[in-house]
Amino acid sequence: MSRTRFVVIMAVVAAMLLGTLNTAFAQGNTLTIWADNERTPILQDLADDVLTELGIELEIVEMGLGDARDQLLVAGPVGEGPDILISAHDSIGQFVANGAVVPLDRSLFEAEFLGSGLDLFTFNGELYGVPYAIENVALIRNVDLVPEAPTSWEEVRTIGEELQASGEAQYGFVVQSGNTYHNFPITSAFGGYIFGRNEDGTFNTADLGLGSEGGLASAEWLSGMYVDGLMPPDVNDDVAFQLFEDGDAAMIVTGPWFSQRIIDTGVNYSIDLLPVSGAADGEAVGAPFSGGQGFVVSAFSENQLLAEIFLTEYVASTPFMQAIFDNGGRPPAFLDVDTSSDVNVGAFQAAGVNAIPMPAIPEMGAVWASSDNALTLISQGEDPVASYTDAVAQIADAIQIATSDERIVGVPGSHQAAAGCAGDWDPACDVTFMSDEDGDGVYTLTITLPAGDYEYKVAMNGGWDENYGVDGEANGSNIMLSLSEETEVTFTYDDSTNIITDSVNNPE
Amino acid sequence: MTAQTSEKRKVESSSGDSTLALVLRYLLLFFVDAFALIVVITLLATGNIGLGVTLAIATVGANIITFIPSLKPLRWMLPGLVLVTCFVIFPIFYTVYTAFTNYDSAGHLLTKRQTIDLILRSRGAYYAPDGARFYEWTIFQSESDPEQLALWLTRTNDSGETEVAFAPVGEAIQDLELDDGEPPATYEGYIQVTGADRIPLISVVERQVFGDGDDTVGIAGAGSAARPLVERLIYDAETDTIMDIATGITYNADDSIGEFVSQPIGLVYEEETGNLTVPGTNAVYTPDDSGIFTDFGLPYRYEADRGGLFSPASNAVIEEDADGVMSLPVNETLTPGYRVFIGGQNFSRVVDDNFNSESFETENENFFQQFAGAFNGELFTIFIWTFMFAFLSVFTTFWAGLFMAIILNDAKIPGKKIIRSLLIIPYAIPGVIGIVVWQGMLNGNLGIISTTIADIIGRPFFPFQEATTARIAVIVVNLWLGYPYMMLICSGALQAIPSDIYEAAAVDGASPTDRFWKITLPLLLVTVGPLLIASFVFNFNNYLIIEALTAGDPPIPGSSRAAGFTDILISYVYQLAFGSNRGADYGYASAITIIIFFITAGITLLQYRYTRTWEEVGENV
Repeated sequence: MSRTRFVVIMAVVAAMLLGTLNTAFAQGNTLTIWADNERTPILQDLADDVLTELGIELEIVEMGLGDARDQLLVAGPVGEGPDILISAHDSIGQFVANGAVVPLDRSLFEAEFLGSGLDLFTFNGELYGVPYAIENVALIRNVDLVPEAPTSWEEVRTIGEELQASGEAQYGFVVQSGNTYHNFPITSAFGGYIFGRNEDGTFNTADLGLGSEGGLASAEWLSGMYVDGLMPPDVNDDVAFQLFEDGDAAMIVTGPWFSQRIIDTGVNYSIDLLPVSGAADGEAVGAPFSGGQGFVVSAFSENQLLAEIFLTEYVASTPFMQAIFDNGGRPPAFLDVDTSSDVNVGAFQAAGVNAIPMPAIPEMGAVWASSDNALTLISQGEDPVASYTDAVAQIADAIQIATSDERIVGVPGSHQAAAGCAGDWDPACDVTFMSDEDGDGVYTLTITLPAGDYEYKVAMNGGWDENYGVDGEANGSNIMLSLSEETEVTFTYDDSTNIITDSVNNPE
Repeated sequence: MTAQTSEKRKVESSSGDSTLALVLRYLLLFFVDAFALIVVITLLATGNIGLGVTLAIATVGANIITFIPSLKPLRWMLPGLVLVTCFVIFPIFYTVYTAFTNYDSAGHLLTKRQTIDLILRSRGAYYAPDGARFYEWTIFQSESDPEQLALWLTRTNDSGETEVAFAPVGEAIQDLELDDGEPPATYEGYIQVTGADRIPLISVVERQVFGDGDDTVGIAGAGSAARPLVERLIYDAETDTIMDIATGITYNADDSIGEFVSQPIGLVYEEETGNLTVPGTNAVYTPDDSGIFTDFGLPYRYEADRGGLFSPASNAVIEEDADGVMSLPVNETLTPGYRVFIGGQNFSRVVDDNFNSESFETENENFFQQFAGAFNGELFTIFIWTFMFAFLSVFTTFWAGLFMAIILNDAKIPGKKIIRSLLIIPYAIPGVIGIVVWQGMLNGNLGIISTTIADIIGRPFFPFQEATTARIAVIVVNLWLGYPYMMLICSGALQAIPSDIYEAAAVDGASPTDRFWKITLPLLLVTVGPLLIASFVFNFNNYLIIEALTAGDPPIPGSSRAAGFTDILISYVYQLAFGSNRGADYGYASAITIIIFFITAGITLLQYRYTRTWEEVGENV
């Protein structure tokens, strides 16, 4: 009995081992693609074409965008990942931080794609994906209630007041509350932003735009609308569309993913650019976020060159992109696609002419929750400036940067040893830290120095990353200071001009 | 056959099983063993040692239990034991392990070996040095020897001229004088490979070096081959460093933080050219017109009289050592990092982020106020609300369920079965759907409940805008979701109370109130007590209802992290761990999970000791 049992076990085990060997055998001509549920059927239809034309076998695995992003980093390193996957552009930052995606040659795609589409997938100057869709929100206007598109948010408010007063409609304009993405066109129109930009185009995560003048101005406009009853709180997509359909809201904000839903409301509508300026006579600065989806090559793939060739020769072509558009309906990033089947696509694309790419850097994760909360508080009638300022503090805390409130200004130089520091040219010595008592951005430091010739400059936050010299020039040259006798010297630094002066050279 | 049959009969008589049951049991075990063997081998091969070993232990245990006769009673628990080991015990140990690592999705997902492999295999591990030429490439295959490949290279140089070259593997590159770069169909015994025929060759040419000697070509991408393409990153296992020969920076593997961190770069000044080089690498740094090197963050200039590099910005001087090498600190890391054991750093971060010890130093306040103030304002609020929410959920659902159960137990109610079926409905509907429907009904603009209340009280009603109304809404929805469960268990427990107790009470003259409070309730709680505790623990971590109904709203103004008045610990922690700039910070999340576990376990133990008194009451009856 035991011998028989042993034989049976071995037979079963052998059979199963053979089975696994089959799956472990890797095909050199196969590309594994992770696609979401809308793109999977399209790719499966095209797989036969790809096999005959290019000789590449496509293995398509259905996986949602969010799952793909999480799974790539887990499955990839153990060889179970895809060669190509579909990704939303704002996951790129996290992929790059994990070395998970392969840079592509942008010049191969430049001529055939919208520059803004390629920009969405460009990170640190390198292109990491081939976009197929680029989308942004727009203003959906009930033409019967509002015959002409407003050009400023002031005008939007006036329209709302008039409609409410005349009783024609309950609200002139309704936007999803507590939703940073849909409210961003308002933020940007007043000059607000999320992260500032450095000179080289990268994001400066220490510069949080919600606390900027423009950001606070947009918060005040929103607060005014809520407090005066011109906009209701507690609005989500469903509420916005219901109010629009019922004629209770004359203008709403939504994107091309609801293109059919707009048609279904039965309202006589027009899709317009969002008002780009805050004040009635303001400069045109505003824009919605643009987001995109595209194909990226996994850095864990054994077939990176083959994947790149597939993307260049087959994916970046009219038949493929046309098939994707016909079945998915998202505005295409590929230039040569016939979009006549969806009447709204052209209008959404026009509304995105100024669109700003949604930042794809990993720090964005900290922004959404705090910013959404601030908008919810504003919709509940809380003070807008306080709400946005709190949000900035929360974000700064979450991404662990020093906010501008904690700006440490020091005066390093050859005078420091004489002033009592451990050594010269030490930006972190607190004996030579300046102070700004009244918070007006003008810092002072008064110390007594013995006679001698000194050189100094100003440095921020205890390091050399941000320092200014003569004429407020970054990394500028030292400022000379000559003392014939022991003198009490007062240094004055103005943060708006970055110029530091002393009471000996510039007596006042 | 006969011998085996008689053996089976012997076995049958000794164990008392039928033949069929015996055969089925062993067959099942064979398949389980085979399956487990495959899975364990795969897990160990891909590096999942923990899970592989766990599964192996579980399978071996299963075999032991099946074959040792004295362990027969355990056979019935076998599936449960295996599942508990794999899906409960293993995750616990893995979570504890993760809490002590820096495992997060900001570049610390891979092990060190995986990271080194990835870095050395990436596009960034190769580069085209200054002066390299980039060509478009076409594959050519030798007619006589199909394994011999070559590239046809074309480019337009800066003057607009066409440059063409032909680069076979292992032979010198031929520069051709042609006006048209189009690759011909054949060339010197090589045939151009087109269309689908290229595909099998792609993986071959991907890392192939064409040409020979110093003049080589490598494929850098789908549209460019670089002449030359040079290996840039070199890993030295002995020193555990990666050297970048393009920049001259050597990166040290820092196992305490799981990153490759740059060492100071050893620069040497060349008098003749005015450049800085790094000996042993290809790195050359040229200054700008004013002699300043701008590649190192701060500007530097070589000043011989100062003895080395001087920065006009920081006034720092980097002096040459005896060999003329200047060690300039640079601050670079390689991407990605790797996961390492970091000890208790996650736990101290939990404490630092949420516990302000300075609060204890303030005078004029009693200890409790100091303790409360030590927590971030919102953490304390959330903590209290989580307890209240769990307690109120259990309290309201229990009394509602008990009430329904008592009524439905009474024989005099007509249509009892129909009523009971209707009352069970909230339990049968998937929770998320029910919650989303409630959210819609409570919406202040269009929700039927809110608009009705608004009509009654005469002004707009937005329940999710204020802390109190939002919390009441959460309790009400949880009551709707939870009372059927309580109704069912109370119904069963009520019927388990023997009726002769009631008769004895009637004889002693007990009033209905006495009957309920002194007999029904205590005996009920003996049975239902543990279930109430389980319900409390479940609601303590009831992420679903908070996230789906309010997402934590309304927000707490001025909180140090994004938090709302209806946030419970688990939803607040989820946002902390997964909503930050580091993406998913699994290490931090695991540390918080463990802390919450100890809190919850402590409360459970206390509650259990308290409810043990009910057991004593039951025993004495």
